[in-house]
Amino acid sequence: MDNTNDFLTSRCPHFWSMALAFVSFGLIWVGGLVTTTDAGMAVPDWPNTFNYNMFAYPVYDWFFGPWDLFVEHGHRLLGTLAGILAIAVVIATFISDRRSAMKLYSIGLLLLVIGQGVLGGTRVLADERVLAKVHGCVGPLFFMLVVGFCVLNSRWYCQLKSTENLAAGTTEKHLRPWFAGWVLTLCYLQLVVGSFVRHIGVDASPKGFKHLVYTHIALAIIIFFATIYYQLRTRGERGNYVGLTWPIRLLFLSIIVQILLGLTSWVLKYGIPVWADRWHWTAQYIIPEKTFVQTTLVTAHMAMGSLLLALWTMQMVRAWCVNSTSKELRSDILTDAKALKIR
Amino acid sequence: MQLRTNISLERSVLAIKPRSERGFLNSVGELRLANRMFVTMLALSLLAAAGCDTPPPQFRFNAVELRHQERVKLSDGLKFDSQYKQQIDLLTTTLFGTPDEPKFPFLTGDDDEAHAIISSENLARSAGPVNSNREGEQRGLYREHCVHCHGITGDGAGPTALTLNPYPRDFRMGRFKYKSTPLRTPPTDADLERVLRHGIPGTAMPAFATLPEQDIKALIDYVKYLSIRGEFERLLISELGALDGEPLIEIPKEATNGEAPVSDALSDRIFELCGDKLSDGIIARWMDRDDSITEVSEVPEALIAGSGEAFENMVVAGQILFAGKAACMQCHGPTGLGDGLVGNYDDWTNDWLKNTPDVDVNRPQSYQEFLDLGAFPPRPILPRNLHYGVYRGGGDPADLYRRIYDGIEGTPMPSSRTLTPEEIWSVVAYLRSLPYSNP
Repeated sequence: MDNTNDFLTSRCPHFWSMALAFVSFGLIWVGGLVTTTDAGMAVPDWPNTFNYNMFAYPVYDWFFGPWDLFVEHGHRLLGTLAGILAIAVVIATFISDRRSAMKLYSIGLLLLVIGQGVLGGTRVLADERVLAKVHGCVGPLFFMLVVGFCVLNSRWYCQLKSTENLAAGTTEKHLRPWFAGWVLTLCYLQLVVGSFVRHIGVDASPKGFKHLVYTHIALAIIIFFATIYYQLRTRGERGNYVGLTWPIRLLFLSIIVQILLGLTSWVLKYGIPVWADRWHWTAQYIIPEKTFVQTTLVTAHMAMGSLLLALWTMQMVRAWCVNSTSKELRSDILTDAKALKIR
Repeated sequence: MQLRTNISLERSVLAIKPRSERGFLNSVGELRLANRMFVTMLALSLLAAAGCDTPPPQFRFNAVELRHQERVKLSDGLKFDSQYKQQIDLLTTTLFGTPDEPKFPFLTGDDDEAHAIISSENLARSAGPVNSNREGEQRGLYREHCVHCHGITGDGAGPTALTLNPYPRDFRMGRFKYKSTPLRTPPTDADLERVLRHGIPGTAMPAFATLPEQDIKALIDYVKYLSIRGEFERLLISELGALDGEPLIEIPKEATNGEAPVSDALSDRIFELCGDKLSDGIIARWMDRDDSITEVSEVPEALIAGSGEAFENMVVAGQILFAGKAACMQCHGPTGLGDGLVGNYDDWTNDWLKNTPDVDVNRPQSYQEFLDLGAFPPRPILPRNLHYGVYRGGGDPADLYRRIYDGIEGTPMPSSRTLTPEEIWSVVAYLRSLPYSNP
């Protein structure tokens, strides 16, 4: 089957946007590592790195220097790569995609990635933790929007809009994209709460932190059950749409992994919860601060949160596309039927 | 029949409408979706930014201790004049600086003996915001590793404190649990280093085993600094009751409300006024601690062997002492399961809970005002289940010896100085046998 359509003349926009999505996810990992290892202020200047042009900083010093410098400088370079890829996406979209909204969308992505870079730089120059918090929230938002963009110029989307599929899709679908949208919003809210937990101020109130932690747990439970509900309610509707089936399965699996990572992160960072402090192994447990395991798993919990956002975005956008396509068809059919009757 | 009609209708529709018009975002609903997504997420991000401001952190005044002293020394709910808080703030800030710019009151300058316990360079390394230089030398160590639990003031009230069990240590009383010195004597640097490097099992105190030597040293100095500062603040508060309304120190009004910097003359007067309180009392305790280390007699061969008849005899003797002369059974229970007396509180809680008139742990409303001022809800301190074989202060024979001989500072675990070294070693032998016995 032809992978392009009348509105999309080449696969280039999809290729570049997918590359951008992968780099963005990598960037989220490295950014998370910056926070976990407190490396945010390892390089005090920006956009330079210790008075060097960012790209001219000696590779030897970068690789074999202090760990936090390695992470922070790497984060900056990866951020630059994301910016370059965003430019490639804009160019490819303007050349190959006839949809004006997609052109605007690509420009929006470019502006957002530039803004995110400036935000990160300002955080360093002002040494402001609040900006670090916002920077940490905008990153996943950007990743999410890139994933949405990828869906809309994907092979799947072209096939959905192809003549054959349109002809075959006769029944209206009820894939509840609005519900997916709500869960997506909750996921993002959860990420924002998580960012508050991670970037908690040095003189923040203990009660405030406790409430944040409880909110984080409550949201995790709500999102978990919402995912199960969505899975069950749309099972029949998804039917033959493979593109709607695997993301929700992956989503379900990811949520379970994420909850386990969350529990592990807590134990690795703050020890055994009060209610679990009654066994021999909990009595002898010592928190391994700043070790490879702690750093990796805590960062993985953060990155997995962004992956969940991406999967829900994919689910929501695809559900919306299928729904609207089938609605379009039904309204067209009804209009046509009315016209026939009149005739 | 119906299906066939539908398909033919669709085809006719498709023939009328070009496919390109069906592309994404040509549909109004889909355009709205994209807009909503973007606006909602951006709004949430802005919400994250809103409501947050980060002025430089300041040391928190010990309001709980002030209220405690008011309840003890004044009657009928009276309170000390608010000028005292300002004066204490001024004194402590003049002497100890701020979290971003700490300083230690070296009363006689470079010759001050206190340089032996605290290095200004280490304070500078530990204080302030987290950052590092090109060589990887870390700054702001306290905020990187400690502040989230122990708090910016070292009051054990960091953001995470309420969610941890036990609560993080409040350094301001100058009391530390696991050390090689007797009760009411500060720990040695080696004691603090050990806790930092190895952590405390079963608590939120992590093992900073990966930190470089100089970072550990810097953190130790900063902990001592916070402790001495906190003790000094408590000392000033404890003296308020005797002042009878007289000012703690005559200070120009502009200096107390922060409108004018502290002049050199005023600073000198503050040093003069507070010098003796600091050097003779608080700092002297820290200076002398290395001389007070509890000597541990030689570990018996039988205990090192951990088996054999001699060891078994020690265990039997230890068991008798456990239930009798040493009175361990009272709290740890007859078989060491930790199921003896409960309902005790540590000194950090008893400080305002037990020693305040009309406060009853069973009536939360009687101590609500302390909670409002920042104290944490009282949690009983539980005796250790000795069958775990996990000892927070270390499981070496010498560590157990010291725990028995000196007790554990700030807890109901008393010192047992009436026991002879042989008797203590017998109790140690019994303790070490418990994990291998049935309760």
